[in-house]
Amino acid sequence: MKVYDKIRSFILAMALLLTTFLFQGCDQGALGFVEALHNIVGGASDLLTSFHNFATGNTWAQYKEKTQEARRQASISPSRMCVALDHSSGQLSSLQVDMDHVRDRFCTCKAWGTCGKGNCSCDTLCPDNFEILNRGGQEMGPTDKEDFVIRNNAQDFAGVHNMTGGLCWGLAAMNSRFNHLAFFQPAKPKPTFPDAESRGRYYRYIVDSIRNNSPLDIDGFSNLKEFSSDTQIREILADVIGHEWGRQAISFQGISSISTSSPLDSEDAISLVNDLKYRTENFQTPSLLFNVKGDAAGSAHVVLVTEVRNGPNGTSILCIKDNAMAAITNNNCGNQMIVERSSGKITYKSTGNADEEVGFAQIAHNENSDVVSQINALRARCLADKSGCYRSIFQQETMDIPRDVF
Amino acid sequence: MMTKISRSILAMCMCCALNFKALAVSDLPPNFKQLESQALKYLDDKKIDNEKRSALYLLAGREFYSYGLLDKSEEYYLKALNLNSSGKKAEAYINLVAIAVDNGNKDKTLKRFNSAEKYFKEHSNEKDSGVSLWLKTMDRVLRTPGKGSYRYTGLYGHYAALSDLRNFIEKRQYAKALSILNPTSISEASSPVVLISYDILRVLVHGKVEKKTLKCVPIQEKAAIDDNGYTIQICGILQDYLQSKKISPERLSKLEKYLSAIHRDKTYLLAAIKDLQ
Repeated sequence: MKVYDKIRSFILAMALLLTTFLFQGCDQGALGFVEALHNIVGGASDLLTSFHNFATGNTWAQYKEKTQEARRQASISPSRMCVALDHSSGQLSSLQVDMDHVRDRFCTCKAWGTCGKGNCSCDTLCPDNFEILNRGGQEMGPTDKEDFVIRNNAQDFAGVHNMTGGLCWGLAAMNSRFNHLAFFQPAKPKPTFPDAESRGRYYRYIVDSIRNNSPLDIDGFSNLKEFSSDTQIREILADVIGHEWGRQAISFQGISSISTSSPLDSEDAISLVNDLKYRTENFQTPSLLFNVKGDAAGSAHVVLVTEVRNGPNGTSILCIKDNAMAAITNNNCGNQMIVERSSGKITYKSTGNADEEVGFAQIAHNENSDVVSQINALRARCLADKSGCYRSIFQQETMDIPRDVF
Repeated sequence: MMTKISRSILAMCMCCALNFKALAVSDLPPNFKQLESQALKYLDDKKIDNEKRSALYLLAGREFYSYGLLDKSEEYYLKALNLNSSGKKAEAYINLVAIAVDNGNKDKTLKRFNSAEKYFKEHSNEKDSGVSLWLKTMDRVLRTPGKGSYRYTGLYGHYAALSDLRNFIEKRQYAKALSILNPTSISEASSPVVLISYDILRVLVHGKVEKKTLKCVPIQEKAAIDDNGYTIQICGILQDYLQSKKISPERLSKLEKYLSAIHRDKTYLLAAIKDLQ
């Protein structure tokens, strides 16, 4: 028992250590990791199955709890989430000024998460939960404008078996990352460069940053479609997408998910649908890894799920953003998976193709770590963006504030 | 329950603020290295058996891998492999290959693949259908690209096909390279290296090609003046060649410089372009 306690202590120390590597704050993430480690060290002999529910999933689940808690608090008290500034601060309300006017003119806060600048206090603009992923709709990639010009065009090769084989995983992961992390600034001029090399280095930095889940501005472009239409950028994107595909598909985690094409049973299918629904309602576009029944590896494909709808006769409809299809076909839920909740049967109906029965399906293993990284990175950016907020209001002596405001 | 050391690590963690955006393994602040070494020293001081130790290392490797911290992931996977334990290690063998692929290190990739292959021969119970496909694909990509029938299966199809294309071009087997490409499918949506390889190969194999039929021309026509990646540069070289049967040394030098700076793994295209003359 003594040794066991010491192992537990080490697990805690290691978990905290590793968790701290990954997050800006130190108040999150440790518990799930400890639990996962505890499960393994506590006696599970088969690592392959023990790792099935590994630590990052628990960290994602903690954000789910945080999101739910924040919403619960918001419903009983206006102080936690969206709330007009003059209600959240007694000091400010005593000034009896039009705070919205002040904020518009002097506050450097930007609208983040669900809260708009008009109805949020500065200290609630950077929620530490899924709300931070809200990019005003861009995060869901609703149209082909939020998609790459490059497609998963495996048919470029004469002998490729199955249309889904290609760079799907890299395209799906990078598409989602761009939609969550790229801040397109069409009104700003495109940067100019003395030569192709320096331009190439600049855009490689941008693409690499997004790949590493770091948000940044992209000046002179309106959206991802326009950005990826630039030939030089498209070449860089193709390289990085190829690398990202490799990181996911060549890995042990990727391989373990193409080892079966057995369809889900009803319970697992309902659980998957519920999980996807929750995620899409919380500003995420989960990567869905699936194959066609009876063809485990030959048909393995990764797409994004952008919405889950209730269909007729007890079915659920998954709106699919498929990188193997022409981007425009994904608009308005043009490609769908129909899930029969009673049997678990999933049918993929994609534009111009015969219906296919889906075999195995699961949320891709990179999804949770991507979301966790994005929350941390977006929060860091949000906090930096609004750093001048209170200072600009209170440090009047250093600011050129017109007297008529007060 | 918590020991002194875990409490101290907790306290240190609580004091830290690490910007994830700037995180790179080489940039880990000294206090993190110190924390890690403290934790590892603690582990080494105690009599924890290798099975549990290995499980911890594998989990650490997986966590770092999932966040793209591949240097740290590699370190922990190697620790797991270096332990004399009986636990399953398929994950470490496979992900160490994946890390070497990500780093673009061919020698290391092959060396690690050899080790993985040996491991799975001795541990066939860990070789399911997914692992079997992975072994087959990696064998083909790393050892025998371009051999066998030209049929590329699903998830790994593009990877294997690209590998074949590159191999044929590097070996100057241009007709074979051209034969694996599907002309009816290549378009602006294709991978740029596939599109421009198709144009180069057609000119190399067929000699006379109508300039307007080059797949790169519509892209070139739409490109902004400063949009001058390798597709546009090579397109210009090909058009000049089709007109004058000559390649401008200045253009070639500029392309070489550009590829070396931005797309080092595409420099194999240069030899093919030089072979036009």
